[in-house]
Amino acid sequence: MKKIIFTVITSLLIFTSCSDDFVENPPTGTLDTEYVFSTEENVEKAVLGLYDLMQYNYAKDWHSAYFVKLLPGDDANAAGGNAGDQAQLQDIDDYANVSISNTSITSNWDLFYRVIALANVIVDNVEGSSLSNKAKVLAEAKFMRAWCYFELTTMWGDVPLRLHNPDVVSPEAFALAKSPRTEIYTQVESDLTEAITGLPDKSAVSENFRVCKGTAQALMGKVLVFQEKYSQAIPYLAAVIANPAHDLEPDPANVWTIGSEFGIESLFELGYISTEGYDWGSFKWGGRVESNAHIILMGTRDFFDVAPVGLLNGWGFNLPTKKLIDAFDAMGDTERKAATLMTEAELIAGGGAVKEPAENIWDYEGAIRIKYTTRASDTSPEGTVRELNYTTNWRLLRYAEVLLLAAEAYNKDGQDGQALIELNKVHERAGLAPLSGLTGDALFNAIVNEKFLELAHEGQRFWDLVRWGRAATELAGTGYASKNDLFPIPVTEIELNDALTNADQNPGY
Amino acid sequence: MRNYFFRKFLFLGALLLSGFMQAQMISGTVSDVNGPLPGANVLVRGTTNGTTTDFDGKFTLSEVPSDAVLHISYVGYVTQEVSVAGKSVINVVLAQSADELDEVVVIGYGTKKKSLVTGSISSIDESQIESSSTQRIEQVLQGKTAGVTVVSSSGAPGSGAKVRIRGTGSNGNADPLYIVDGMKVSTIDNIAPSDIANMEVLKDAASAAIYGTQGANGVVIITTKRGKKGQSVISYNSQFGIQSVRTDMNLMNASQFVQYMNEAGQNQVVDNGINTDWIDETFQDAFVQRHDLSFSGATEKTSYYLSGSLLDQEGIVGKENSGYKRYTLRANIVSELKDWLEIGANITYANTNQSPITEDDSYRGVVNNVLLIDPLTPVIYDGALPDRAAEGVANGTAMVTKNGRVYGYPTYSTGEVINPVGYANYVFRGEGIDTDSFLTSVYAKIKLMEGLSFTTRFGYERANMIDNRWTPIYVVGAEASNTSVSLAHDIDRNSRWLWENFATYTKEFNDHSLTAMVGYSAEKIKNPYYSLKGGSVERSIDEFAYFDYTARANDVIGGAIYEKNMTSIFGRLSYDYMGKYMVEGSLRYDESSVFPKSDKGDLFPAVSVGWVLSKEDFWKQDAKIDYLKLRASWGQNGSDANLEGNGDLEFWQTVASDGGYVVPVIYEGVGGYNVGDLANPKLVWEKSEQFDIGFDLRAFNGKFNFSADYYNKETKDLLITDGNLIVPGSVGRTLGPINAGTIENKGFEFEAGYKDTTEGGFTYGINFNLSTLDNETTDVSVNAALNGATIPGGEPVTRFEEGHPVWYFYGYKTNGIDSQTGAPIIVDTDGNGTITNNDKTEIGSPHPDLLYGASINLGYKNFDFSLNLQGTEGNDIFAAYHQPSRPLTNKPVEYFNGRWTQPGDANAKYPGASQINGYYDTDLMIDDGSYMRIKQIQLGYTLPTSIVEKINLKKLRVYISLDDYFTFTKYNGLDPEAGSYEDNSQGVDRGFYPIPGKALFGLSVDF
Repeated sequence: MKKIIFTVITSLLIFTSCSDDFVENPPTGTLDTEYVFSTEENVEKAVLGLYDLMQYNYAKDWHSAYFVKLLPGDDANAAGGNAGDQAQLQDIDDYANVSISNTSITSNWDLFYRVIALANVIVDNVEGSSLSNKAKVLAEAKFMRAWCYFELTTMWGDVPLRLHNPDVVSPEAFALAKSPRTEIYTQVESDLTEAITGLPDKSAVSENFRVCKGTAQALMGKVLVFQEKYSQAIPYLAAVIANPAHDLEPDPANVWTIGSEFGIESLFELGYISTEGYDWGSFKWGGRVESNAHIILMGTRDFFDVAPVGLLNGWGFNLPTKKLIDAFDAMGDTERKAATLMTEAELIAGGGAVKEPAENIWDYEGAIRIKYTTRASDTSPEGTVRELNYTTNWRLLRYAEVLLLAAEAYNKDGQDGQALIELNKVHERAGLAPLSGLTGDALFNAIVNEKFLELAHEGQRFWDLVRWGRAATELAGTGYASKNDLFPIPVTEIELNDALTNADQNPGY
Repeated sequence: MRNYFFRKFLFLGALLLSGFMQAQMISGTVSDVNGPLPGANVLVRGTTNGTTTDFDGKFTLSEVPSDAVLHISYVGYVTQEVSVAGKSVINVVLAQSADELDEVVVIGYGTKKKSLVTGSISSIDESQIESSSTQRIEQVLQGKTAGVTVVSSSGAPGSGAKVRIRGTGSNGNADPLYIVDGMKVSTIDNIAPSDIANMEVLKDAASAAIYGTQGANGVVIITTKRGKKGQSVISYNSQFGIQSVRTDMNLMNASQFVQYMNEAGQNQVVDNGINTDWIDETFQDAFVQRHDLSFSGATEKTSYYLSGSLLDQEGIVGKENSGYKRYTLRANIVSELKDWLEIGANITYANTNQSPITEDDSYRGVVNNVLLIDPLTPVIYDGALPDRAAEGVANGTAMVTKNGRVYGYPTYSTGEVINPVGYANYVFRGEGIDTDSFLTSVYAKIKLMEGLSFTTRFGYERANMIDNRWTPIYVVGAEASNTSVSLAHDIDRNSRWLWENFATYTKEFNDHSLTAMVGYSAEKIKNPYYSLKGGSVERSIDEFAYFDYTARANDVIGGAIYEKNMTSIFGRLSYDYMGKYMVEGSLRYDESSVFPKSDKGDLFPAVSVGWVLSKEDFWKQDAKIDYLKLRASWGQNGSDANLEGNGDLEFWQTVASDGGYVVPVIYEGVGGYNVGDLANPKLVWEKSEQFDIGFDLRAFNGKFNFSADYYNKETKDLLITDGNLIVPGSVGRTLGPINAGTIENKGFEFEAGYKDTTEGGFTYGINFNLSTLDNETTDVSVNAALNGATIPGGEPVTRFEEGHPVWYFYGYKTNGIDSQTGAPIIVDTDGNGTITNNDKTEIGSPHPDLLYGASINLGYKNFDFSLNLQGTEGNDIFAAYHQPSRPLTNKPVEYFNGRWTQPGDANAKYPGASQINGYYDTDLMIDDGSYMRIKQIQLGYTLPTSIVEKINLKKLRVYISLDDYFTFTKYNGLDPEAGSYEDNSQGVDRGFYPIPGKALFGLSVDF
């Protein structure tokens, strides 16, 4: 009897301990979609996720979109430790062997679509809601979506246009064919139209890092100029120019320094901060970090003694070309040049040194870069791990570019007088005497040259050359071929997206 | 009634007869080599007059005729017959049965006689483990049985090995399920090999199916030792040895390096008179010792086994900096408390301490840097320091020895490459990974009625792990520096309980025998974890490496929890007729928290049959083959390894996990949300279905045995943890685990053995096993190949693709070296006239076609000798330690000797020195990874009993052993057993800690 009782008790115990929900473990640290879209405050946090992803994409370890966009230009060389250092970046710089599996190009592609997908979820969930901040949230999300599609079509041409995320996991749901660039532009314009309506004026944004009406107008202008819709572009660009909330930073020396971050010239800027205080143990390579780790990649290598000029060493990428140095000199541009680069002679005059023969330094053509460099003042204080805590912000869109886009639009639209006015604003800010008497192609050439210098090392040059049809001449002898006008679509996209085949690969890859 | 009278009559008759034959009283003792055997049967042949021995092995029989023959038997021992021949005291020593068919094997939730087993189960017993000088259990399995692959993840002390039963059947975690004394365990790190009584490897699906969702990769059942009745034994084993690197790898020496670099156009590289052999300098001889002490015995009702063990193994890299220490304590107690109740407990406590150095890393591994650093760098500076080193000393950023001497800065190599001797000895600080683990299982077995018993068993496992490390300041170069002291502690508290209840009913009637078992179980895993990071302390010494002394402001803490719950119902029915025809079926139903709400559970069936031909009437009694059994089995198993659960829900988080780091979503100091993975409500169990057919044969009076099996194992809905592998970038979302496809593993397995003793007392035994393995991915859930491991530069070099082996090597095929240019000729596999990424193809496979093992055991008088070897054939290794970003790095000497040097050079194997850098993703990096390794050569001597007894001992054996000492391979890397922690990196050599050779001296004493 005892044993029966024992057995029965044991059986009962285990059955009672195993209620139905025993095999349910609620997830930890998660919020359901309903919660996220239930209040104005929560939706704002979802929108903040867009900024966080943008911040990630433009400074991710060795794959920053900032650098990838910049590399094919004739303003900068990849440089680095040697000719083989980060081969995927050298390949883009040298136009040769740009592989369909290039990891940096793939990273950019994937992360632009990550931003788009997050924007899609926000748009899909907010559109039917009655939240009081609905218009602003939609505007901000659609701006980000427009920005990324514009970047995608600039760098890859025709791309899949995904506006709603798949709701099931299957190859069929993931498959999406490419849309022609014209359709991408149409969607970008549509999103920007809504963004312009919904976004507040710069003077009224809640946090200085947020995009404003002017940002959307400027991007709309740029998108239209890229489509050669000059007359349509002018009103948008003019609206930004006319708005007193936007203007040039008066001193060219301050345009790219931390003192002017999110300042008057800034239209769209990605922020980086040092408050996390990373050290080599806590830094997260390839993760979403808050500091701009890409700066150490682009600091001068230890071939250079740069401490006397207030800089720290880095890993040596992103050096100016001789062509850029010469262009500054040809224009007699000293102030803007000083804010952009420093020649070897200037470095030595400042107490620095070049410790290796120049020919041993890969991709070095006589100057180091000053714009977005490893300034000791831009990172955490001495005694901390300063290499990992740069706070340098990327200015992705600024007033000077709007002026130059406007100048281009006016020039192409036959309004050379107005074009020269806008051009001279930039030219004079550089400390140069105003240009005069230029019209037509001569004026256009002046705009091109001005933009080369003003936006050097900012990732605009190559894409401008391509749309102007000037790449073949300007890049002659560099290894450039017309196939380089577009990046290859990542092989993973072609393999995994069932609507794409090798025939959809960009020409020449 | 009639029967009664008949028996009584017989008894009287016998009594009369025995009286007539001068019946007498006989007494004696039955024992084995270890001591008295209680419970042995003693029977007067041809009568019912018999008894069993008492607790001291003694027996008394009366009325025994003087010419009678005593029949003495005991399960597991060879039966003896002894003529009384007028003696009144008869002492018998029984020998342990060599008849393996009488052995009992442990199966899930029960045991079974080997002769009745219908599945494919391999057993490894105490004797094979005892003589083994290995430090870890997995190593005991290596080469011992067909179909079991053991790949070391690393040769570093304390690192585990990957055990693969019948090929890689799964992705992610394809480890078998380990059961220790009935308890499922997450690790077998904490078990001392000396505590193991036997191990069973359940290879076929039908045997493993009773473990349902966790049996897909096979099951290893470990049973620890118990005390034996009448044998109070104190046993002590001790082992000392020296470990050393045993590699044939040669890197370029200084003059070769200079010449190679100059040819590559690196003219700044000049001979500076230094010629460092980094393999010699980095790998040093290291000490290992092991001590095991146990006390065991049993009273009439209770048996006990108490043991303690210590293992202290230095590393051959950095000595104690990569060392391992393990202490274990164990108590096993079984008691027959009542005639209806047996209770038992197995309790273990273990402490392990492991100090890993970085390896398996193409950028920052110590071993990787051994292979890459230029030979013109001194290990330690002699005399005046170069400027760079002097500056480092002045700034406190130099790597220095304990005596303050400075480790050489790389003369030419740049980037991440640093002095590996300095790396191993200076950089790794802190306590390492210290783990306290507690494992216990207790059970009660109740006999409810004849043939019916009920068992309730509760197991509990807890491991508290603290990984405590800090890194001092050092600056070697821009990419190789740590400019402030950083501290990192990780704390894991893993626990699991498992409660199983099952009833077993056994019934024999006429020639039928039936065993039925039904049960249910519940288990819960709860693993909270914490991480602490901080840094910047006042002084770079151990005494400051605590979080109280950091700058505080930048300390980072993290942590979360992993939980998994499961319930199961299971049952098995076994039937046999006359031990001739066997059939068995089992079913298990599992529900687990890691699967979607809509589909929490699944059913796993299995069936197997066996036929002992040799028991048939037609079998000739005098046949050379005295036993032959045919077996066939089919079953389904599952796997839920590595799943987090809740993959069916879409959710948002305040953190993001990009790049493998959990980081709060913050932008400019403001917090935000991140959308989580795409919901995947269709996620299902990984299911493996396996068919097995085989036979067991014994011949020449049991001296020869042979088994053969053919299996075909198909793993469907293969789980891959990283679902992003199937998501095109344009979807823009992340994805958790997915069901990725189907893998097929099939092959033959053979095991053969022969053993005998000659009349002169020479015993010998030879065992051989061989398995073939054919591994193929037969279906991928997307119409694409999935990328796996990458090499520096980011190119994927392993792939998962339909029609290819699992995670095969992927890259460009070459067809020799262009004799004019010195560049490799890349094969245009797609024939489109140009070489593009699309020309990449299968260039090798990490999976061997053949695996084999063999052992030879010899014994003569008091000497014993054993030799074990193990090998693979047909697998490739991908040399992934090269760093294209750092061209001023060293290479194996074969790259020098076989290089193209000038136009017209037609027989070059490797490209010219200036060309090599672009070809690290070609088949030039593939080497034949086949090898044969002599795992152990051991010579032992057991002192004669006469001497041993004089010094009051029971047994004393000494031995010398060479373990992992000789390896035969064509691989030109450090060690062909290049393993990896990641399945998709199998055979990808990024610089592994080689398995050290060990020269050991051992001693075992029984008191």
